[in-house]
Amino acid sequence: MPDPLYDICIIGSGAGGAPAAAHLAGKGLRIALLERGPHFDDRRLGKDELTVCRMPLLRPDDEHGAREIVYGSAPPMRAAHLWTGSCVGGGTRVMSGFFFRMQEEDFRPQSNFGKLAGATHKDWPITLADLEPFYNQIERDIGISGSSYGAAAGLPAAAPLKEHPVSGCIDAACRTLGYHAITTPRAVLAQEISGRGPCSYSGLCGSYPCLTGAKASTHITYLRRAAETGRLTLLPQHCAYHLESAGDRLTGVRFFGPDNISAQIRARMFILACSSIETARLLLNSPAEKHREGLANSSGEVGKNLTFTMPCEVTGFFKKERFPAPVDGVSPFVQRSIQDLHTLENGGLTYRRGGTVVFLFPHPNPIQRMISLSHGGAGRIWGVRLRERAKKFFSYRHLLSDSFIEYLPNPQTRVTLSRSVRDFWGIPAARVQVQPHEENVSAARIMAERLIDLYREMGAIGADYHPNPFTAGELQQGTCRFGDDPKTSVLDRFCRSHDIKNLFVTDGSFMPSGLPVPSTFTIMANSLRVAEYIYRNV
Amino acid sequence: MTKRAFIGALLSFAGFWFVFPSGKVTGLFNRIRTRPLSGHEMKTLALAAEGVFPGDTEPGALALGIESYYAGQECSPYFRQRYLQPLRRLIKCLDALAKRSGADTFASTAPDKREELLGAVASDSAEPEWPGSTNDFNLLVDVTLEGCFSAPCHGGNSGGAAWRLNGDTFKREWLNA
Repeated sequence: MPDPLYDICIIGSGAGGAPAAAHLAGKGLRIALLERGPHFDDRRLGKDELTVCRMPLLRPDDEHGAREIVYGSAPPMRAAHLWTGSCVGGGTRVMSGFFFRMQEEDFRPQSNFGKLAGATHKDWPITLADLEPFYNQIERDIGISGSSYGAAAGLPAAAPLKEHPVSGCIDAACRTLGYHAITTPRAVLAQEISGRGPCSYSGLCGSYPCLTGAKASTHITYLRRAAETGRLTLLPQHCAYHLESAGDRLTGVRFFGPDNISAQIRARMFILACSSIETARLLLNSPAEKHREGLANSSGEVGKNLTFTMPCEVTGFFKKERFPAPVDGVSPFVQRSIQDLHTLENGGLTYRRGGTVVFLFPHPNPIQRMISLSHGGAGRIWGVRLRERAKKFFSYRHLLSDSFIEYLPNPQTRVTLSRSVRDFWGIPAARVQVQPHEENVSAARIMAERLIDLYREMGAIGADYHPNPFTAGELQQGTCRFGDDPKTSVLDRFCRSHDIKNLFVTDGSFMPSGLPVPSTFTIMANSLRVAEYIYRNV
Repeated sequence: MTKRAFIGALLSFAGFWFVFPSGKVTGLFNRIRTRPLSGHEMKTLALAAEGVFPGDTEPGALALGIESYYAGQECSPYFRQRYLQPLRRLIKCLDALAKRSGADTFASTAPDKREELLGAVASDSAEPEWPGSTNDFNLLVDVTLEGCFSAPCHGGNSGGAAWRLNGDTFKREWLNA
């Protein structure tokens, strides 16, 4: 067998792959990084709403990214849904950058909050102490504005982002109701650091690429650092579709390049970071003689226990004089969150878990706003009715609260291989079943009631909550949970496959429970933790 | 036909598909299928868009430049691949419904009658005879709103008027770059 060309082959360039690539390249290892999506040059991107809506930043086109999706009891549909990102940088290219750390209690959901019929959440085999040094390292590397964790750890404070005056209204209402409003920690710079930033407060942040480098997308942070070592070979538009193995070792990855021709890359070690759905799909599409149910799947757990974040979006309506519009088109952030609703008391829940609430202005994309207003009840709203509806909507100010409720893994939310849908290259697509646990649906309703009370306290003249149990899927966890028992987990506590000795997974797949915070910061910290383990031990 | 002529024709047919690069053939079919909008089609779509987002004391789709938007979008592969065929189907459906009501075409129908015809398509009434017409109407709504509320550089939203309607004051420096 010829010598491998690379020390490590990483698949995926987002939050899970890029930190590991930078860390290991910095230690002298030769890295090949495969990314299925293209490398978009920042200078060619913009915030033009039409262009952004049509560019495959968030997901591949229907032909290349189609999946078989089953929402609840609806019939299966073929759609390119539930992607986290499909370009160099992955979802971090268009994230909002809410960077919260997990708290100690979040690592023991079963021990702290109990079991629940129909839910498969498990305690983590690690604690906050295992992740904390790496959370600190990420903060040092990329800068997190508004972070209070950093101060406690003695990290230099990143300058705070400008806040809209509505933050004062939120603070006052929270004090009255006994909540503790905190500054939202954002992976967005308020000042220029190392050629990045500062934020231009354009108001078009989440779902848009950043044009100043203020947002800590991995392509300008960790991938840039990895490239500077001279030991990173970044391969955009290289879509991995099969893992080649011999016994208990991976030997190579087969991929389709930009020319749609199949080729192979060989390495000593492999790291999967394609997002929970695609990592599971890759493993399931790579059966071998000793791994007939998919590679690294002796436990039968690959694809199971998929989690997202349970949606709960509440919009408050205010008279325009209540808080001012952006001045001269400069739109500061709201920059307020509360974490008092991580545990929901007095709600009648068995599993009393809610999540972090982030306050923000509704997404300003005018096209999407109008299309959203044209939906309502049966059929579309159009003509004079649409005009009137828009007039009424825009006669108020709006404040949105986005909640990150801990999603309960359950047997009805999982990834398998589709028997009917194949991608552009003929490879079986992922079949994704999504069915939130009833307890999560109840938790979302209780959170909404509490937030409507808060808006009322702020002087809102009304509030809107439309229950929607199905997420857009930009935060994904589970499908290759880690644990100490190879019979019930796919990975060990260092995210190394129990079955395949030179295979690690560093996207969100390793998580054995949902999180009450956005998972991006934790995925990045864990990626560094695993990379450090690989460097020291393997 | 003689045996020789038949075999010759068969070999020519096979040779055509084997020798002529398939990309060129596909490209040829695509060019036929995505021919530019005719004058009649443009007028029909513009009037249909005005029905979706009508003007009153404030500009509607026509005043916002929806025709320029369509004209500009014809260069967009995204628009041609996803929108053109469904919109053409919708035009045929609207013209057929207009004929039934005594007019020549949708475009030559009186404005209040046009609203009735759009309503028939929007409400599934045309569905039995024109399967998929409701979906095509929904696409018209999306395309109209795209045209009215996207940046003026795409042809619609003349002077940013639609943004001002909604109190949108975001600074968009990249438009002047």
